[in-house]
This record gives sequence, structure tokens and C-alpha cells, in this order.
Amino acid sequence: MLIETEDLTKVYPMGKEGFAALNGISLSIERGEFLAVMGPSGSGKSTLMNIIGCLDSPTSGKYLLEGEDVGAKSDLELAGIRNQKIGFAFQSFNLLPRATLIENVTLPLSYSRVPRRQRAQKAEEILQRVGLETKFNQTPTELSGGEQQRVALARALVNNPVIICADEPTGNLDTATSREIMEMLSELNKDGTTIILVTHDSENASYAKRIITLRDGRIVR
Amino acid sequence: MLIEYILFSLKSLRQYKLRAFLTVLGVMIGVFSIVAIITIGQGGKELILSELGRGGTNLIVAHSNQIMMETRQDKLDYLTEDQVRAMKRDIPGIEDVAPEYFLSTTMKVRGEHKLIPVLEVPANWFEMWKLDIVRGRIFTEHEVKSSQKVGIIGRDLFNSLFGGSKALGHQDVEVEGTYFRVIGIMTYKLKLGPWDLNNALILPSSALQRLLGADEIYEVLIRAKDGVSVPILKERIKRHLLKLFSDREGWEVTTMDEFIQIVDKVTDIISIVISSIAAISLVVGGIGIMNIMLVTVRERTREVGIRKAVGATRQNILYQFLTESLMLCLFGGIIGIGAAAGVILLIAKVMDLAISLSGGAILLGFTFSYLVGIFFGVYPAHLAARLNPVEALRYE
Ligand SMILES: Nc1ncnc2c1ncn2[C@@H]1O[C@H](COP(=O)(O)OP(=O)(O)OP(=O)(O)O)[C@@H](O)[C@H]1O
Ligand SMILES: [Mg+2]
Repeated sequence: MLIETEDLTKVYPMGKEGFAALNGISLSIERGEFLAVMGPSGSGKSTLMNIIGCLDSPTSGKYLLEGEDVGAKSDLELAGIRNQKIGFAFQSFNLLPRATLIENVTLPLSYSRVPRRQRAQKAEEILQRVGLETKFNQTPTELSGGEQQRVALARALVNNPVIICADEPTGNLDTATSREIMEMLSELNKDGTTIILVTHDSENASYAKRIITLRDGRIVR
Repeated sequence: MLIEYILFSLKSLRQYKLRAFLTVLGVMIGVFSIVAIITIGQGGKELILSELGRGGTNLIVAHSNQIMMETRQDKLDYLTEDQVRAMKRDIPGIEDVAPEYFLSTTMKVRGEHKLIPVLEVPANWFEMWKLDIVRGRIFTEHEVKSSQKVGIIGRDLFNSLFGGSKALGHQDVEVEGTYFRVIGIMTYKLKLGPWDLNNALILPSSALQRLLGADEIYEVLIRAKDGVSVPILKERIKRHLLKLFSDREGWEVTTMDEFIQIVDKVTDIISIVISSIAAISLVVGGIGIMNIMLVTVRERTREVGIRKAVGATRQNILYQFLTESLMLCLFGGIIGIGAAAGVILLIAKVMDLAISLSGGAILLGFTFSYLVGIFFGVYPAHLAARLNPVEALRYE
């Protein structure tokens, strides 16, 4: 099993009791799965995604990634996991606006031990794969939303991650571009990458092999 | 990784060049002051002390510091040549005395009328003061006694009057209608105020005085005998003069040691003042650096989030922002050191002083820039490193 969570909770300080954004999530995800997480706004989808992506830690509960307890890991180890095993795609792309596409895509490589000379080459390969070979030295601000999301995907892929965490990656895109991005994720999944997709859109969710639905921090389906 | 930090910092610094330059001014001024005081303080002080001390520490200067208005007499208390000679005879412990007359004359130098200091001394004065004669010779006792019209000229004045290369022996300078043959050229490393010996004339004692019909001595150079306590001799001279001038305290007696102490004290005070300026500039500059780094960290919160999401550790972020504040400070330090080098070069040239930027001063300048960069950069960098990635990514 790639991912196993047991009774995860996330409580934000609010009022006396605090607010539970996650309320006992127990979930298993196998290697190579394509999982869609659905649910109304505020149901805890992003919170769960951030914990699975090791960006955030749960208030209680257990999270095993490749059999290892993530809760016991240091900042250094968590950064290493984010760098090596996880690729993120966000609704708002989260690219460095003033850096070139090459610089954006090489960013994860500068935090791993990839020799400098190989970095640009690797970035160019990946950018080619997502169809941006003519724009290496442009900045994200010069690109369309769909192109920016492709850069973000390229950045997510550059270290060959085990899991892609995509939090509403098509939220800012039109239907046609959304489909392109979804096709890409689907391709990646076929090549063996585990995909976890947060979405509101049932058409997007139809690309997934499994769908779970959250409500008030619990899995309801 | 260090190269990455430097590249990232350069990229980010390029985005706020002007802001960076303005913030770094304080560090610049601080480093400039430190480097300048080390160099000028050390080099200049050594020079002054060596020039002042060239005659040895058993010299004493007795000079009148009366001001005409303060004295209720119609004439100031002065010594005559006879009285100066009598000092050597009457005060035990004096090896030698030499009256010094300070005068000035106007002279046409390169078509311009200039006020030239004239010092009149006896032949033994040179022995006492050990002045550097670069060409020619000093005048002899005989030349002084027989009122020969000879003189020794400062190198700069000689060059402006006659050009540098000519052989000595047939140049005359006209002073108040009388021609004096130049027999020697002197230099003096200190150029303090109007009394720059490089641009002055030294004539045999009373050559001009006699011409002008006056015989008033207001300064006497005295050498103590070997083994005689200089401070005790000083007191004797003081008492002698008080007796001579009916207890009027118009004359001051100062030993060379006291002069050196005064220079010491003055240069120390200057050093303290400049050090304080340097310290204040560095602190103010450091606070400026801290301020700009806090702003930078806040502006780039989202960037920190992105970097953490793709694998940056807390340490990576800390070092990245530290590198940036360090580069800011080193940049300021380099400009400060450069400015100090320029100013020192200028001073050395204008004042003809043998001072130059030392490796130690440069190292100190860099050390201070580095320390300020670390000290004031560590808190903002720490804040950046500590950012929660999820919140940082949400930051607008
Ligand atoms: N830092 C925080 N402090 C307090 N409450 C928070 C914080 N972050 C999230 N929450 C709350 O936790 C709940 C779940 O948030 P989350 O972002 O996971 O929802 P979501 O399912 O992703 O919603 P959406 O579909 O709108 O993105 C929300 O009610 C939100 O207000
Ligand atoms: Mg969300």
C-alpha cells in the first residue's frame, strides 16, 4: 500500500472547541491509483490533500507513506519527501512569476542532488513533453492559464514523483483546456504515477478510477 | 548549494536595485569610516609622531603665546639674541639653544604673488631638528655670523621657482629686496596648515630681522643635555622666563614628549569620534538591512511556500535569505572600502603623505560587513524559514 491513513483529524484553533476541518479520515491508496476527492466547499479536501502531500501535519491520527510513519519525520526528511516523491499542481499554479519556465522547472532539482549541468537538460525534456518547447525562456506571466498549469505539471514531474497531488488544477481553466490537463494526468497515471485529484467537476472526476466524497471532514462515500 | 543561494539572491536583488542601494548606504558609511580611520589613524599618526620626534625627545620648545589685546603693555614679552644665549649659560642642563623667527614674505611664484613662510634659524638649529636636506647643504655658523645672503628652500617652492632638475649654486630668491643664494633644498613629510616647510624658506638667523630692523624672538628651541631630566629642565626654563618677564605668564614651555602626547590625544579623540560614527552607521545600516529583509520576506512569502512545496528545507530558506542580506552588506562594504581607498589615495597625493590602504583594513571592512549582514539578517531569514508552507502558499 502506497498511502494509509488512520483516523486523521485536523483541528484549527477557533472558539473553545476548535474547528475540525478533518474528522477521522481513514483512507488507503494503492500505487498507481487515480483517486478523485470530491465534496462541497469547506469539506476538508484541500486540508486532506496538504497532509497527504506532507505540506501540513494532522492534529492526530496516523499517516503511513510507503509504510513509513510520516508523523515521525523531521523537517529535513519531509522536505526530501516533497522533493522526491510528491509533485503538486494547484488551482492558482503557484509558479515563480519572474523566473523563466526553465528556472521554474529546475527549482525542485536545485533542492536535490542533481548536478547543475543536467538540470536545464532535464527541464527542457519535461517542458517538451508538456508541449512548451518554444517558450523555455519566457516567464509564466506571458503564458495562458493552460500553459501555466502545464509548466506546473512539468515542475511536478521533473523529479519523477510517486504521487501527483492536484488540487483543483483546472479550477481556473476553460473546458477545453481543462480536458487537456485531465488527459495529461490520465497519461501520467497510465505510466504508473499515482494521482490524487481534488475536484468539484464530475467530468474531471470521471477520469479517476475511484472517487471519494468528503463532507464536514469525513468520508461519506 | 552556495552558488544557488548567490544566484537566487542576485536575481532577487536585481529586482530592487535602488531600494537595495539606499538601504546599504549606512553599511557603506560605516565600513568607509572604519577603513579610513584604521588607515589614516595608523599611518597618519605614525607619520606625525615620527616627524615630530625626528629631533629626539630631549627637545623643548619655549614660545610666546601672548595676544596683543590681552596684555596691558604696549609691547609683548620677547627675548633678544643675547638673552637666548644667556639661557644656555644660566640654566643648568641645556645642551643647545636656537632662536626661531617666524616671518613671511610675498614672492612671485609662477606669476602669482604668494605668501611664503620664512623661518630664520642659526646653524645649530639643523643639528637639533635633523631636517632632511635632499640636495645641497645647510649654512655654516660662519655664514650666519657674517650675515651671508644664503638660504635653504623647500623642495616644492624650489620646483615651482626654478624647475626640478637644475644644479644648485646659481639660483637666487628675492626677499624684501635682498637676494639670497639657494644653497640647499629640504623636505618635510608633514604638511600642516600654512607652515609647510616644503614651501618655505629658511634663512640664517636674523638675516631678515636685521633688514627689517627688529630683534624680537618669540620662540626658542632647546636641547637638554644627555642624562638631564627633561621635565625638570622644563620647569627651570619656566622659572627663568617668569623671572625675566616679572612673573607674567606669557610664555609657554613644552617638551617634545608633551607635543607627542597632545598629538596622541588628538588622534585618539578623532579615532573615537570616527569609530562612533562608524558604529552608529553600522547599527543604523544594520537596522536598515533588517527592515528591508523583513519587507522582502513578507513580499516573497508565496515564493517561500512554493520553494518549500518543491522540497526546500527550513535551512535552505534560512540560508537563502541570509545570503541575500550578506550580499547586500558585502556590496555596501565593497563600495565603502572603495570609497575609503579613493579618499586615502587623494589625501596621500594632496598632502604628499606616505599612507596607503592596508590589507588589514580591507579585511576589517569585510569582517564588519559580514557581521552586520549575519547579525541583522538572521532574524528575517529565521522568520522566512519558519513559515508554514500551506499558509505561505495561500498568501496573496
Ligand atoms: N488555517 C486555517 N484556520 C482556520 N480554519 C481553516 C484553516 N484552513 C482551513 N480552514 C477551514 O477548514 C475547512 C476546510 O478547508 P479546506 O480548504 O480543506 O476546504 P476545501 O474542501 O478544500 O474547500 P474548497 O472546495 O472551497 O477548496 C474550511 O471550513 C476552512 O474554513
Ligand atoms: Mg480547497
